[in-house]
Amino acid sequence: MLVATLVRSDLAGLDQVPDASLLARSGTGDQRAFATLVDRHFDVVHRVVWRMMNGHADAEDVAQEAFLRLWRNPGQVREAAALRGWLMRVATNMVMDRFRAKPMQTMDEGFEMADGRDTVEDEIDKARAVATIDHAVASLPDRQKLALTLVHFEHLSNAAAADIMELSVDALESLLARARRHLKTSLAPHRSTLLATLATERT
Amino acid sequence: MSNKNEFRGDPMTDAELDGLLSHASAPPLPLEAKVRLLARLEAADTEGPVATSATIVQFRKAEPQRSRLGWLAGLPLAASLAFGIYLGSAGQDTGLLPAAADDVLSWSTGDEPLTGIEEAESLAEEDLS
Repeated sequence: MLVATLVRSDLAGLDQVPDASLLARSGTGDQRAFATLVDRHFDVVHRVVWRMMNGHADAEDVAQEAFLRLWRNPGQVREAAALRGWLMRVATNMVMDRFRAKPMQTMDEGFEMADGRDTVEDEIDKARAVATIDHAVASLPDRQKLALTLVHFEHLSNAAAADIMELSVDALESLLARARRHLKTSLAPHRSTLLATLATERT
Repeated sequence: MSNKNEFRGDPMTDAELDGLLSHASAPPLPLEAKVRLLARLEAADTEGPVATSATIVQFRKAEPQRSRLGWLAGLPLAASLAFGIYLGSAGQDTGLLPAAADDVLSWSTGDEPLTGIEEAESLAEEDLS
C-alpha cells in the first residue's frame, strides 16, 4: 500500500498540507499521509547523513532508520512544524552513535593527497581536485562538519541549524568559524592548484 | 618543529573557500531509495511495532465467522415449500400420504373415505341430523 502510493505518485492533494496535519494523520495509520512526508523530507535527510558519513554506503540505511522511528511512534515529535529538523537531528545522532561504535572511513581513503611540493599542477584533474575538497570536509570534526553541512550545503539559517543541533546561535557560529578555519588550513597547500584547476573547469 | 599542515603563503579568502566548497561532491540520491524505505516500513508493519511507553498496539477485533451451511440446510426446505405451492395451485390430488395414512383416516371417519371438502360438508350435515 505504502509503496504503491508512492510509485503511483498518488500523493496529489496532500502537497499543500502542512507537516503537522500529515503527522497527525500518520498517527492514525494514514499511510498516504506518511508517504507524503517521506516524499517531502527523505532527500534532504539523506544528503545530510551522506555528508556526515563521508559518502558511506550505509547513509541510506541510517536515513531510513530515522523515518522508521517516526513511523513507529509519530507522537514523539513534540513540535510537528519542525519535523524536518527533528528528522535531521535523529539521523545525525544515529550517525554520531555509529562513529562512536565504529569510526567511518573517509570517502577517499587510499587516495594519495597532493602535498603541495611536487608537480601536481600538471597532473591534477578535476576529479582529484574535488576529491581533495571532499577529503578536507570529511576530515572535519563531526560537529563542525554538521554545522557546515546544514548552513553551507543545505542553506539553512544559522538559527535553524542551531535548533537542529540543539545549540545556541553563538555556539553554532563558533563551530562554523572553526570549520572554515580548519578547511582553509587543510586546503591552503593546494590553494593555487585547486583554484587554477577548478577555474579551468568553469571556463 | 612545524606542523605538516602549516602552510605559509597567501591566506585563503572566504570567497575562495566558498568557491572551492561549491565543487564538493554532491550526495547522489540512491535510485528507488524512497520505494525501498516504504517497503521497509511495510515490512516493519507486518512484524508489528516496537513497544515503547508511548506506543499503543492495536489488535484487530475478531470478526464473527458466518457459516454458509445455513443456506444449504434451508435449500431443501425452500424447494419443498415451492413444490407444495405448485401442486396446490395446480389442483392436483397430492396423493403424497402413504396408504397406511389413508386407512387411518378411513377408520376415523367410518366407511366413507374423506377425500375432499365436499365430503366434509356432507359429513357435517349427517352429524347435525
